[in-house]
Amino acid sequence: MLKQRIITAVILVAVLLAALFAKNPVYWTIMISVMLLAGFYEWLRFCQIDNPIAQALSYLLFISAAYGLGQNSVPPVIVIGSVCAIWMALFAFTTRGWFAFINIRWVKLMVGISTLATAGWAIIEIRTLTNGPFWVLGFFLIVVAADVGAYFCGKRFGKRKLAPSVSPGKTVEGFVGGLLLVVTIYIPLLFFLFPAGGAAGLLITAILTAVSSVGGDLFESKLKRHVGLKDSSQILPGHGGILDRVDSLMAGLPVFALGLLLLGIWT
Amino acid sequence: MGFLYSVIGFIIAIGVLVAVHEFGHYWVAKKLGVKVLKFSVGFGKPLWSKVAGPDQTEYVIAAIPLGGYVRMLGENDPDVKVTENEKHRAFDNQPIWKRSLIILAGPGINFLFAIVLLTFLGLQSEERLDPVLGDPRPNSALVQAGGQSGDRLLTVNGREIAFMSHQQLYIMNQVLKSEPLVLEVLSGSSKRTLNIQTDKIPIYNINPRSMMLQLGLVPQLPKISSEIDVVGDGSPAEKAGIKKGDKILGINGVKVNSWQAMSEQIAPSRAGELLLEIDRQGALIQLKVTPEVREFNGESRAVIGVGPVATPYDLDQIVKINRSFWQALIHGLDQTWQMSTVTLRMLGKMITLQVSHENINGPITIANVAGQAIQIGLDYYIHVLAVISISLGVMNLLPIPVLDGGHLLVHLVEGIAGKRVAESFFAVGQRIGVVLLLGFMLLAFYNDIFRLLN
Repeated sequence: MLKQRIITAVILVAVLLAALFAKNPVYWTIMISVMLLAGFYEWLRFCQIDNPIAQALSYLLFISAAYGLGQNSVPPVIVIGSVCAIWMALFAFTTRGWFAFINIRWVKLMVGISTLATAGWAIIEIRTLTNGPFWVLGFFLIVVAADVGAYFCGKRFGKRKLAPSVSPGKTVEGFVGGLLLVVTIYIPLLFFLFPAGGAAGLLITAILTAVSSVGGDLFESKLKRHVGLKDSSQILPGHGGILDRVDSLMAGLPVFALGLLLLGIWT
Repeated sequence: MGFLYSVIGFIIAIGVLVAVHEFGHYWVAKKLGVKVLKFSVGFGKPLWSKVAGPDQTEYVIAAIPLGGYVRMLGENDPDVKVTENEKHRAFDNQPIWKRSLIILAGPGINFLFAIVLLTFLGLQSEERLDPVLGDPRPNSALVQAGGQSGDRLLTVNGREIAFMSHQQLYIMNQVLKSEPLVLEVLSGSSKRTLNIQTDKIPIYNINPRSMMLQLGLVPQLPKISSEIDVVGDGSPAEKAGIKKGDKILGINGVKVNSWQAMSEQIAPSRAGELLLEIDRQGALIQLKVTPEVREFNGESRAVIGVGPVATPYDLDQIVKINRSFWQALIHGLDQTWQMSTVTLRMLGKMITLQVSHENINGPITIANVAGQAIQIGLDYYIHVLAVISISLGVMNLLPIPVLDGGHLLVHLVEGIAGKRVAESFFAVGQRIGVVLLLGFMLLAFYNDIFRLLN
């Protein structure tokens, strides 16, 4: 199982990185589109929409939303701003025990469409910025660092539960450890690469991205618990589904993108 | 079809080389009296297995042909209990020299195998290019050292040059070290010595071809006619209406009578419009074409996107190389040594970021090369096999825990310290090794796929 997990991860990461850095941006777009569709397939399982016609309509809605975003007809700051607001609401609902509202099928569907489509659109757009691939890589690194830091710190020092009702494994110590690792990596990196003002802004962005990514993880755990699924699917051998892997990325991305927009990097 | 060849070429190559590597461990372990429990080529699900011999060794061929292993008695294996009367046959209880020999035998036999293959190839009669210089670039290291077209290469740093690419690997080693080349050439009837500086040769994206080009060590080319055989899809030539079979007679009023003369006219023209005079099946026509600028081996040239008719070298440009057995053996040894040192040096320079990480190849590229080699011919495939064998040997000797070299490092520490390396310390090392190896695999896969996409 572990071997399978590692091999899948190595191949997947290699393919992703190659698509990210390929000269022709179309590979990245294809890659993300495939992942989006697979992710949405899993989301429909969360929504427990089994009626084929309803499913077809949902796909249609999702694809038109993603396509519409791709036309860049709405200013990015408005799209990203609204998605950030949606995520804030989701976090609030997750932690305060008002989850029943989100658990309404159609609400869930709308949440899925808006968060997935914008995440996919944003990661494709960020790739096209100057040094785009590196911004994308920087974003991945934040989320991975928050996760890895949380894992090791939680294992070593973890005592107080972060959200016992949602995820028994997560601890406050782990959460702090994740943020610490992000800060440890990004302070030298950012202040080396950027003037102090820009670096400070990006550092705040990185920290908020990390916080949001943890929230995304919690949200998906809660969602799975409510629906009674262990993994979002079995698409990735040894890893479960796509959403299991990208939940934290999906939640972190709008915050990261908002940071880039406000700092004038994404114009 | 190409895909099928690649799969076959890859599986045979890796299968044979893994079997050879593991056989090295197995054979020496057996000779030294260590009990071998299992000899597996490939890992994962067993496809075939047989238990044989007084030690009841299990021989296995398994599904994933990317590696293999020899399991010996002992080896910190919690699953296998070592009984009192077999204690002296356990790997862990062997003196340090025996353990080191068993470990060393794997990479060792990979080098040996390469030497055998290259010696075998050396025994074949080869047709190679006469080491007479063609037209080196004016800014090449050779021209700056005073070399010129028509010079016959005799020796480099005292090593004989019997054919054009004879000392290519040696030269690559010198270039990687930035050490000068002392070239002895025959200019007309007089011998001259040229001192070539190599420190200006860029090594970041080094490959033998571009290196020889930049040094100026280029062979004479056959005179190729200016008849066009290939017109690239979407090329400027296609847009201008140039067709296969057209013969270029002149460019902007300048007569051209060979392919070389033609590209000399086009190459420096940048993106300006050219007027071509063309012989199309006897009729004289004129076409206007706007070339595009492309990068070739670090030099930008204007091209129109056409290819010439394949033209063989003139017979007097070919030398026949025949070697006696001893010469072939020395050739095999020398090639193996040069290739190993080039590999090691490249790896070292990659760590210090002086050489591009793109030089790491993964399974897809290896399969590609193996597949092409099969189609070209057995000789070529054997050569590829030797090259992979050498890289396997070198890679396995790297002092990374998990790899053979890592074990040797532990033995070295043990030998110096006079006592066993602590289990816990070893475990940490293993983890670091696994992470390094995974990172390496990731890079190899990344390069493979990146190459496929671009």
